[in-house]
Amino acid sequence: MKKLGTFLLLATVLVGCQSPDPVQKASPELQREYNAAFQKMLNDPGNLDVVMAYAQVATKTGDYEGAVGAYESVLLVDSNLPRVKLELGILYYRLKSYDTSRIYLEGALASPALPAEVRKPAELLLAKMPKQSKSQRT
Amino acid sequence: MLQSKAVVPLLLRALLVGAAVLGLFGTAHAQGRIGVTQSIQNNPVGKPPGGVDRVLRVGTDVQANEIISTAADDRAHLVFLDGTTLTIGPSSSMTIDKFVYDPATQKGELAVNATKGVFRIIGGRISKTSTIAVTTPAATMGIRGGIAVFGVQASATTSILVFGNSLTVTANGVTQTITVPGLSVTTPTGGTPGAPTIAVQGNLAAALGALAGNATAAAATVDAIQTLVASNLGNAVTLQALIQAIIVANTATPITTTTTSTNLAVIVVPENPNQTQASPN
Repeated sequence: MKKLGTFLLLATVLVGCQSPDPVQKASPELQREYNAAFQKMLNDPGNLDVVMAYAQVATKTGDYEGAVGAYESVLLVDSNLPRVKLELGILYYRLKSYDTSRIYLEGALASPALPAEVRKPAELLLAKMPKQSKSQRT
Repeated sequence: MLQSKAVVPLLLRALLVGAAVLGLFGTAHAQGRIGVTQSIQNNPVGKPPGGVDRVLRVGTDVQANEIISTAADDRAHLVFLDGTTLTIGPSSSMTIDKFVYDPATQKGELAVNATKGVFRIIGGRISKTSTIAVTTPAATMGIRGGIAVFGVQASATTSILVFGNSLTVTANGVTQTITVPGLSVTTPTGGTPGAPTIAVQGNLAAALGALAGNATAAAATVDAIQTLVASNLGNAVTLQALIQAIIVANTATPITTTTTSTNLAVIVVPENPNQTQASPN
């Protein structure tokens, strides 16, 4: 039991040490584009064009956390933006954070302002959501 | 003549003092900015070290050791120099204890001390190689490469791993480690962290709702945002293709790979290492 516990602890530590940074894995050109977009956002954080541009290049780079941070900041400007919630639902799905993805997708679909043409893809994603913890929902 | 003799040392002293003061300001400015306020609701307040309270506005720089507090309808979203973001919900108070970041190596340290409220941390470059430390009255948490939400009350702290490799919660010599997104740990103040359990969807939704708030922007701003996001998402056809691809990709590498290492998901580390054991979730 002790050996098992030690092994599991070690395994957890090893798993925890694996934090691949998609930005560092990106091509030099994409890294430059990413860094430029990030610096621009730091210097002009209230400019929505700049924030969205960063979110786009972060997504392209695979830095979904960076993109999530950018979109989450926009929800403070207006908390009822179904397209932003849809984008967050997609990003959290990509991160395999399914419970959070479901919350945002359901929020997007609940809004009558979500355009009809993107409802179908959103519903598809929601339907394909793995039932990771669905049985625990209240 | 006497007057000029007296004036010269005074002038020299004034110049030296002035230079020292300017030097100090220069250092403070150079080392001061660790991030910036990206988005706000109402009037969140920041108090830099040695400074006075100031209302954080979009674009306000944030410094190390700054105390940030919000009233019932306030929120603040900060972005740090390494890309980490911190969203501070209503009725919250926290101090950014430490921020060190070297852009050349993309390594550093970040520590936050929260006394009350709800907040979310989305790890940037620092969290890829180091653990972000969060201290509350009930526990100390460590986030590695991910996203976590915390609810801090006088009686307890609840920690939810939204995404990432691990979230550790330590109090009174006991550590709980979460490695599966969607799990949470509650630590009563003065007690030890409970076993990780699946976060109740309603609680997670409530926390995310509290962090997003209830702001309403002008119609023109809303239209502009929706257009920008639509541009990022692409049209319905490309979006459909994108979503199909994402579903296929996630199906190919399902989260159950992580979850099946269920035994790895939750580790209880008591003070006596001989008692180390795994807890199923």
